[in-house]
Amino acid sequence: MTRPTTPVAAGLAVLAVFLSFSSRAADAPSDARGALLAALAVEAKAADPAFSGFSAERGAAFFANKFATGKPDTPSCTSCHSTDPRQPGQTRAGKAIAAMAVSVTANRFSDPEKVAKWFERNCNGVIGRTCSAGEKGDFLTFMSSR
Amino acid sequence: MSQHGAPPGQEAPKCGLDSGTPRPPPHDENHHLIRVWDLGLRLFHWSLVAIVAFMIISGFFLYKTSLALHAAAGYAVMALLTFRVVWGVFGSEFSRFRSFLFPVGHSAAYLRDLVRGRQDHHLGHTPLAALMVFALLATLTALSVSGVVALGGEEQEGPLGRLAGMAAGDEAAILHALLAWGLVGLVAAHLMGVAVSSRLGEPRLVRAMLDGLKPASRGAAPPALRPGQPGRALAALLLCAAAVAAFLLWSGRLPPVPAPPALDPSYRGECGACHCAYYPSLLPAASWHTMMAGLTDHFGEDARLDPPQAAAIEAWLLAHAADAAESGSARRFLEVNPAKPLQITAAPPWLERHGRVEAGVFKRVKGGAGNCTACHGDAERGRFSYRKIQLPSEHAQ
Ligand code: HEC
Ligand code: HEC
Ligand code: HEC
Repeated sequence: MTRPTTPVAAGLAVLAVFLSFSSRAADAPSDARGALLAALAVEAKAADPAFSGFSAERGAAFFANKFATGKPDTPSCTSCHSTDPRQPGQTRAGKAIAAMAVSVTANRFSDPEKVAKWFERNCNGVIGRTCSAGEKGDFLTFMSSR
Repeated sequence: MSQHGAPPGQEAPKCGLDSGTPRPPPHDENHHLIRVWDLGLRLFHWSLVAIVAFMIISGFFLYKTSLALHAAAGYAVMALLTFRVVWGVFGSEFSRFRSFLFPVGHSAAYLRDLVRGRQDHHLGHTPLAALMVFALLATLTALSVSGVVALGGEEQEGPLGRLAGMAAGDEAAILHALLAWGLVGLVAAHLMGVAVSSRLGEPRLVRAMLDGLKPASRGAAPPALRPGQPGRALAALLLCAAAVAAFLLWSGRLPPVPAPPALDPSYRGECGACHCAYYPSLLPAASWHTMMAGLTDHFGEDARLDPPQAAAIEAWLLAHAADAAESGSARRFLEVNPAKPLQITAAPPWLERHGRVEAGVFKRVKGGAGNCTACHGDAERGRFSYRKIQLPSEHAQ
């Protein structure tokens, strides 16, 4: 009687392994984003003891704000990233930028070095200064919620 | 005009090389039509007309994007030229080169008469027509050779795809363009020659190229006309075909010309984030050096990199800059616009190569002229071959 059950058990085992693998793979970017946000929260708390968590609303306002204090061609984050985070953006040189919303581009903000590099560049380009940990965290929280 | 001969009373042109007999109107009982142009020659002539017309149109007007068809037709021209040379030896009397290699004195006398408005009647080619034939054959041969070298050197395609270097290809392409204008001039002169000759009373000039027949006087001693030797011609053609096949087999086994070095992955990732990754040979080392030193204000944007990564990318750029390029055309990108030394699209060599592209076409491209990959499918491989050019369509806005 054991004969028919063996293949079924084997099949279930394979399925279980496959599912755990695929869910792991899908989780990797969000794990990385979680670690990034946690690190930013520590940094924000250190800078401002009154810090009580990131806000998607503040992130949305930051994203849409026309700073115009950086380089003249790029007054706002939306100069390159589309005003709707779920839509693809476009660089001034014509290259498409995948949508910033995590629900559309799943692996967004999963490489800490890449995120740091672009915050450095884009904050300097748009605002004319680096962004604070609070601004970065709000921005990431907003994009993760979309 | 050509069919009706000279008006009565005018001193008529003469038959053959024998310039003593006056030429009466062609269709009287003293004349009969003889086959001057054999079938092989006539087929050659009209096939060449059709193919050369196509070559001129595709070469001048359809950009070079129709390269595949242009090249295919070019091989047909080469086959026709081979046939013509063989037929110039084994064809019938008037197809043979020897029948229209005239002594200089004869040609001079012909020209003197022609200036006075008279034309010596020649059954075959007149001395002037013979010159035209040789000039056309020579120009077409030179066009074929330069075309194949350009195709091989610039596109790594065709029979010399594995033999011709980039530099040879570039030079051949320039020569090819010059020769093409020469050919257009010769074709125009040829058509004018036919028109003038017909006006001067040369009978059946155009029709003879269709049915092969021209009037010969019955009274004169019949010229000894050598017949064609199709068997020998065929043997010679087969020999040529075998030689071409052997060459293709041999050259097909040569190693392919090495491709330009692939883009460094780190360069491609970092410098291809906002625009296509420009191939390093498009700017001189000095420009890359200046650009890498000023990434915080890069064309109005902040493109800063980690210093170690920037240094590695700069080293790679300098090693592959225009200064290091082997090909003649890439070395021309050493020249920059002194006012905008960092901009490829402001440099004279870039502007020269795009002078024929209408400004409206660049407006249709997202990001404009700097978006090389929008038109050049192989830009990031450092090739820019004509085959890979695809202009954005009007609707793709
Ligand atoms: C000049 C155009 C431009 C502007 C303006 C701009 N960005 Fe970006 N941004 C880019 C490009 C290009 C990328 C990289 C594209 C990609 O990863 O798909 C990028 C990537 C990023 C990333 C990293 C994304 C990731 O997946 O890791 C972040 C974070 C970011 N931008 C934030 C901002 C913020 C915040 C602003 C406004 C202060 C802003 N950007 C304004 C062009 C711009
Ligand atoms: C943050 C975006 C960004 C990054 C990253 C970037 N560039 Fe640019 N680059 C631009 C913009 C914008 C232009 C101007 C395009 C225009 O005006 O059409 C430009 C123009 C250029 C041009 C001139 C193109 C032309 O039109 O002739 C070169 C060359 C160039 N970049 C090289 C580089 C190199 C090398 C790197 C890597 C170190 C790099 N770029 C990284 C945004 C960027
Ligand atoms: C709007 C389309 C378009 C864009 C964008 C464009 N090109 Fe071209 N390019 C052409 C066309 C068309 C030709 C052929 C012109 C001709 O000879 O008729 C050409 C020719 C060239 C050639 C010469 C090819 C040869 O074999 O001689 C080079 C090199 C070249 N382009 C480089 C560039 C570079 C580098 C860029 C980006 C900075 C660029 N092009 C952007 C359309 C474009």
